[in-house]
Amino acid sequence: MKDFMKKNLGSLSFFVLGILCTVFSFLLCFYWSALQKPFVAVAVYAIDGCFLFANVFCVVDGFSKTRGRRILNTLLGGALYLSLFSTFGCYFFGDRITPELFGGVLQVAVFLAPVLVILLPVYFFIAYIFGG
Amino acid sequence: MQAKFECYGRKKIALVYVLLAIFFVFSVGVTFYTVLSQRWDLLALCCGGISLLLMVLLWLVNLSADVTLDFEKRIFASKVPFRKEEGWEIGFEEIQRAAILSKEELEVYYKGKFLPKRALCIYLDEHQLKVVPGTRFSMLQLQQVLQKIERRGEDTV
Repeated sequence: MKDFMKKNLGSLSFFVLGILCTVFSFLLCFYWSALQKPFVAVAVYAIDGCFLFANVFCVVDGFSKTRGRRILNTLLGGALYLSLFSTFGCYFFGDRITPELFGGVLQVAVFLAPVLVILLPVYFFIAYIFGG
Repeated sequence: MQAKFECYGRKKIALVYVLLAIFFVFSVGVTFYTVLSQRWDLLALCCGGISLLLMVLLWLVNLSADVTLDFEKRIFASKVPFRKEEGWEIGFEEIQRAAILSKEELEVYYKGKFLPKRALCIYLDEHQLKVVPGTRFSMLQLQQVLQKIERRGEDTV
């Protein structure tokens, strides 16, 4: 166990940081309402955005062979995650969807981005359920 | 000097770009209509359209298979996957001859169901050959590659 921890310290600390970041984002937004302050909101969204692209990079790194493709796949993959999440969100709310609710869905997508790699199987499962 | 041949013939590339244009026009059009008419129930359609557009873009970015003839290093390289081989590189000196084989002709060398309809085969000797599956190339492209391989001894490309 100790050997495993030592070998994968980088990945493990990345996952732990991601989980902490997601938990703090939700707490700051819904519990302490700290995101109403623009400075805090910008900082939280920026950190979550960085984690989003870092997570997507982890996924695309395995199959992208050149540097250019790696960058493009990371950017497009991040955008695809957000658009797919908001598509499911919109379908979830149906006709009741409003710009405010849509903003909320996007916010949740950004907050969950730091744990994207860990939650990937869950996302696929939800997509499978909704897909029929 | 290099001669590089990207996969996918002109018709297939045109088809992909038409598909991309359709998704682009659809998603931008629906988004504008949603915002202008304030029909927020159409937001799901906008997001779905943009998702499809991004998927096509990701597919385009990852179209990577191609063959290259490097006349300076005297190397023929293929990045087109065939069976378990992801890609390979051979020197011009190793090439005995090259030919475009049909599926039936390929069955002499390879067993199994999933053989390409046509393939460019590079013979290293009578029994050993390297295969570039030709289904994603147009016939014209395959003939051009074959022509270049046959003229590999000359200085001009």
